[in-house]
Amino acid sequence: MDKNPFKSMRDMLVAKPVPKVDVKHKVMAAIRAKENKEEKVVKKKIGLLVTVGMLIGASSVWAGVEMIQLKNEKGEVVFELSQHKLQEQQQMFQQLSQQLSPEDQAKMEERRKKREYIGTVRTEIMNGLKPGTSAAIYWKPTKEQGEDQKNIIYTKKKHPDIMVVSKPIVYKSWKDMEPIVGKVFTLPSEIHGGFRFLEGEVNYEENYEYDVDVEELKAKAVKDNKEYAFTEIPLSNKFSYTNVAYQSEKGKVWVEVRIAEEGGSGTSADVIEKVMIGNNEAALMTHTFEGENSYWLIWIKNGTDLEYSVQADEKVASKDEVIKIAKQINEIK
Amino acid sequence: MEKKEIELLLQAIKNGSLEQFEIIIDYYQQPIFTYCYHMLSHHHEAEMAVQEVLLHAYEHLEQYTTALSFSTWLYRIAHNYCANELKRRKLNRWLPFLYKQDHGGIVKEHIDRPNREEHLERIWNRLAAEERSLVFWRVLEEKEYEEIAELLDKPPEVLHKQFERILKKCKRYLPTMEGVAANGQKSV
Repeated sequence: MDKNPFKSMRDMLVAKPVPKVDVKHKVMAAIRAKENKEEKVVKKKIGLLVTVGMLIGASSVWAGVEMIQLKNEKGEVVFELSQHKLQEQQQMFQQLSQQLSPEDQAKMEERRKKREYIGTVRTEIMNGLKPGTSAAIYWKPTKEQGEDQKNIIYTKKKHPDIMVVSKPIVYKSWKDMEPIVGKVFTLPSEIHGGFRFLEGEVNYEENYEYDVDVEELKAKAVKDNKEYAFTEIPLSNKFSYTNVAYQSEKGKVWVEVRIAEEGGSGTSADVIEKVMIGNNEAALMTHTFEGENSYWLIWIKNGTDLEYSVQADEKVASKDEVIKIAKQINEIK
Repeated sequence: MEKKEIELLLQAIKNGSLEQFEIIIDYYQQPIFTYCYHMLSHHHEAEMAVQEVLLHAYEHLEQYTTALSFSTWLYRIAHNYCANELKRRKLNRWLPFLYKQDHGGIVKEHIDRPNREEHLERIWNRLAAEERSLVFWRVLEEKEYEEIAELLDKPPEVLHKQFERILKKCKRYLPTMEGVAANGQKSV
């Protein structure tokens, strides 16, 4: 049987050829316009939630926020520490998440996975560097990042798609380390409680001043069919911080000295309190995990722009011992 | 375009590669326009329809599964759009005051219609959206009932009977139509 027995009807239907159409530009423009609009709406939603959360803080998750201000000998505030307990942060996060549509939640999860991936690659590259060297890593921006970057002003010469990592030089004694950082500060070879200098690393500011050839890295990423590409760059000579591990048979105590930054910091510590280290005000944070406490003591040394900290688990050093160690370090000129 | 190729494109689009959607538009815009053009008998409205169909497809791409071919999925969207449009026109005829704002007046259905012969036009205007789709796919596109069944989400045998009823209707206006008995009962 004839597959199409309606030839005359068909002929009539096609009597006039159908015009050609090209709606590609219109459709693409409509999609782009809608996507931009939706992104702005989502941003507004989140912004509004945070603002409302802050405004009605007394009845919300931020009800218990505590803050410690550290002042110098002139009475000037040099450091602020605000406490946001982990449980409160999780509650806040849940509240925000519930307000998001399943699509936005999926996007958040996707971004979290991306951050994890970037972190892993960053660590791998850093581990592969020689001590005392730096690398600039180019990351291909996502469409979303590309849009966000339009609204961000970057400080220094930092390129939004470039991340700099460095591998610090590790010193095995204060004697070896002193020539490097001795002009900035001094640390003892042994601290209270019989803890001896085990190893210390010196970190420099990430070198965002160096003029990286971004186009070359982009091309390399394309060639290697990867989301990133990296190249070695000179290490900055601007000191950032040093971290020293001291050890006894009980375990390790960590001492850090860094160039203080203006403002302050947040903490998820369970308890925060102000203590005195000589004439210095200091913030003592206590974190409790599975019934065990750990201490973290921070202060800005009067007359300097150096932020010191001592960290130890309670089983290694008690709260009093941590304070004694801090006093010993603070007294050294 | 191969099914595999389309699937890869769609996956890339779902992963954020918007540019790939241009290839989809290039490939499907003319067939979808042709369908809408016959359904709506109006050039400008058919152009609007194809834009809406493609935009809707992009926005709901996550809902598309390979259980249907992408082309079938697009035609389903197009059919729903045209059916709504025809329904709106019908209402417009009865309740013009409600729809005046949309188009600045009553839609003039026949202004830009394809140049069909007058008697065909009479038939066409008497067909419901689903009937128009059925005729378009069966007569113009020469699709099998099984294919049309997927497009209209109805069993093939139901469509077969429906098509016979349409033929009877047509017979009254097209007495010389080939392949149909005078009583319109011949199976096709």
